[in-house]
Amino acid sequence: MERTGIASGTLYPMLIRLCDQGNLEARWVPSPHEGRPPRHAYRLTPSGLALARAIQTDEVPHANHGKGFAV
Amino acid sequence: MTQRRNPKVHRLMALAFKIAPPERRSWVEAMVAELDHVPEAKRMHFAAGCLVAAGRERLGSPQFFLAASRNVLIVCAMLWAALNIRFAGRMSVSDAFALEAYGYCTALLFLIGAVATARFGVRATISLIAPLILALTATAAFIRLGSAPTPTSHLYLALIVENLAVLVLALIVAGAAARFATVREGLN
Repeated sequence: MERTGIASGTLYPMLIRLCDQGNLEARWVPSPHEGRPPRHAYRLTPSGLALARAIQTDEVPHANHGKGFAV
Repeated sequence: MTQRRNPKVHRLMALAFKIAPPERRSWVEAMVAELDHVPEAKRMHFAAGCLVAAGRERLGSPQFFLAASRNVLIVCAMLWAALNIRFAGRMSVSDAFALEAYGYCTALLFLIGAVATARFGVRATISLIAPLILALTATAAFIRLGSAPTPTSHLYLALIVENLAVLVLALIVAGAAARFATVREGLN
């Protein structure tokens, strides 16, 4: 979130959609820090990777999502 | 689970959990888990964002949309029934028995529609409205073409057309709700 500047109110709906579309997989992983709760870790699926590459090479038109509600 | 010191943040996350549709609750749990890794100063901002995300999920949920449409249909059907009862009451004062009966019958039909919609959802509304529209259209055509134009026949025709307009509107709302929910379920 810090790197992209995307707020949580925009980021999580995007992650949910990507998971629904099968482009992202989420799983719980234990935190490396002692006493911290497990976190959701995300990984692009093969179709998600293909989509990301296609977007990078401008094969797929992509919308400018901006910052949404920026909350 | 987390070391949340700010009670406001805790309340926001609890509210987000309540707002989120049941199938998205695990995502709110993920947000709560992530909260522990967000710097203290940014937690309120993060929690507000989670609340917005939960709200978006709720508004986009097919179940929420169907429930909202169903409630709108029920309230409108009850209101229309009440107006028809009022109309029938006025007709009873002027001894117009047929119009009084028409008003009460219409009110009864709309009440049945409201109960069926509450019990079985918008698909029941569609199943009830479609044959009713056909019957009313046939009656309207019969009055318009099969009888001499008199003030009374014009009044009956106006009442039927009025009910037809209301039913078509309800059919559009119910059909759009069912269609939207099907499309959303397909996307999710």
